[in-house]
Amino acid sequence: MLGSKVIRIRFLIVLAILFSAWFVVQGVKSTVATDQAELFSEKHESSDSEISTVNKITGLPAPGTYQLHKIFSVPEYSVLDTSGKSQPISKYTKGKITLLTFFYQRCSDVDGCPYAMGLFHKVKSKLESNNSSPDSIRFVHISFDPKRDTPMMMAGLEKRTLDPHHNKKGLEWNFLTTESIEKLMPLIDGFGQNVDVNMNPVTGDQSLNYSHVLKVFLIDDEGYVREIYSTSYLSADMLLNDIQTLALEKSK
Amino acid sequence: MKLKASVSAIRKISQVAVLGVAIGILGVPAVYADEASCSPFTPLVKGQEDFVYVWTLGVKGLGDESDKLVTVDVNPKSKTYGKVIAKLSVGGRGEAHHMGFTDDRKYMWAGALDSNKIFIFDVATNPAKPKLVKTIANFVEKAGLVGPHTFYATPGKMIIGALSNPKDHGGQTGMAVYTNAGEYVSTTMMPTTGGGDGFGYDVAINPNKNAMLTTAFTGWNNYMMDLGKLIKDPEAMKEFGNTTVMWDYKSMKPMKIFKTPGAALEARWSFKPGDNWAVTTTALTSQVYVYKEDAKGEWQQHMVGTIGDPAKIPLPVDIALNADGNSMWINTFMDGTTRLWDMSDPLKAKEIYTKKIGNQVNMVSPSFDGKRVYYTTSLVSNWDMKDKANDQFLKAYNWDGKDLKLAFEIDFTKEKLGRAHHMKFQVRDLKTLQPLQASMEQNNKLASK
Repeated sequence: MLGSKVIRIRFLIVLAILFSAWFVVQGVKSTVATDQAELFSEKHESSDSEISTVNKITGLPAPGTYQLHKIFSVPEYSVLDTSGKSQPISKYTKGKITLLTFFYQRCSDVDGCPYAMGLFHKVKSKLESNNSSPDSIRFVHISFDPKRDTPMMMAGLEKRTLDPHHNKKGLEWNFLTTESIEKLMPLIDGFGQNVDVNMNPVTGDQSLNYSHVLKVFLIDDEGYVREIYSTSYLSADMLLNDIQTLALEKSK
Repeated sequence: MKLKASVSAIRKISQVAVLGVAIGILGVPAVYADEASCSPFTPLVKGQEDFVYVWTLGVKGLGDESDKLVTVDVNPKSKTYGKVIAKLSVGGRGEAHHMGFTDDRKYMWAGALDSNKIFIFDVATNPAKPKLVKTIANFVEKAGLVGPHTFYATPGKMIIGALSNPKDHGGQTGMAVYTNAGEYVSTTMMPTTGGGDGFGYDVAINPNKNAMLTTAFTGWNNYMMDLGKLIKDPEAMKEFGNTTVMWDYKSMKPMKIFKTPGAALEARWSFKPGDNWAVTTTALTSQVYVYKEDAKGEWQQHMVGTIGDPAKIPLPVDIALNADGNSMWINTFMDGTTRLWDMSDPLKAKEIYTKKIGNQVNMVSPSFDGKRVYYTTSLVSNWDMKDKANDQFLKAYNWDGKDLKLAFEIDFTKEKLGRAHHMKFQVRDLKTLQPLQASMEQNNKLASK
């Protein structure tokens, strides 16, 4: 018992010495418990390019001041256009800066397909109002639901979306589908898009679990995915910023 | 004879404790593991988790002696509840440390701080039995960094926060970005100007605010050094981080550098919808720091509390915010205690509950609903307590809102597994995973501008 107490006292002394030693070594004052917020304002005001100055409203850096790295090259698959003709997906992912997302017409998740559709319209509207050159930008929607979203259905959607009265500047917006779930699955796997196939044990019919995570892919004109957005990371300002960043990269 | 043996045992424990204190003074790597500590880009287990993966350090003379991924069945309805159902050795001991899921939660990356190897496990094909599908063995050559520590998923990519560098193996370090396919993309060094000290540790992102918080620990020279030797080396003791950095995540450039004395470790953002604050704790000074924007939209750091009695060096290690953002578990290694803090007003944080978990405790992982809490023990192999004080376990508790009640315990030494370190949850059916929607309201507002 006595030995234990002695050891405890020694232990506390060693603790105190070591703790003090660390503070001496670090030159830290005992007032560390005060608010330590410390802005190196000189650097903010300097031209030090390593320090970011984000837009106060959007919280984003200025276009062209950052890099969008190549994440992966869009895999080569076939899709069906609105006339039902098989086309290589590269037709829709190369030659222009492309925003691509997967969707299905019956989707009613407010945080899913309708949200993305609304966002694309906002981006389109801003591109047009900013006098940008929308002919160098393309939007692509690919259906998760080849059974219901047939080429004919996609053609109708495209017509409604690209009403000539509202598409005077000619932004290309493609609505694509696939022949079957078997053709679709490798495509969405290639993009890393989560969606699941369910099989009816009685009929053997396949259907998709549409509880997918919304993703939008920004693709450069060489067919490389340069950014991926999800529900927690998706806004019109961000898309516009990144589109402009890719455009500036090309113009250098 | 018995008395003599007893005194001798106490003396040994005391020596271990002193070493443990030294660990505290030098700083300790801890880990994050719970759902609310996952990247916001990763779908979450919001219901009952089926498995806990434990990234386990091999121990010489114990079992196969190798680092391994241990899978434990944690679904109470299962016949193998509370049992180890799979072990996957990766061959050799490389100082297994932290893990992180890819943004689709189909793969889990796990790092080793000494060998610098990164192991990628398939945890989707058969979540009950993960499979090693790729080993990245050239991290140092590709990224120019040493000590792959934090694995933080972003869409299609993985940010790897490192602890050290290959030039001098000190604390100057950075973050590497890889694609989900395991291809190296880029390296960003921690800032060394404008108040930055170049140290790194944890990474946490708030997509709503395009903000990323990083913390700072120490380099390979220290975390791999024998502890007794380290505490006698005053030069080595200078080599600990004293800053935190708020980054512009998009550009990977610092927005603001804070003085945060005492090696800030885990970085967490509140997942509560509408919340936009982060928190960390300092290992050496036992402080809780909260990061929040002021009325002008500028990030500020606030010291909001002191953990335990700093004179007793409680040594805060892992922290875990509950998903509602109202409370936070803080483990203190030296006294093996877990502490629950009320964070409902993050600027007025306060401790409301404590419980001793073991002789030493490092990691804490609450379920998304906060009803189950898991604990493991190991820090790094050279710094864990010695002999009988060297508890190595996974303990599962049920939290009823008032008290933690032990559900099961696995002794990792008796099971010949090794040192129990980082934990991650997984479900049998990945279709039940749910995305974090905490930010939609914010994003909709942003998008509508």
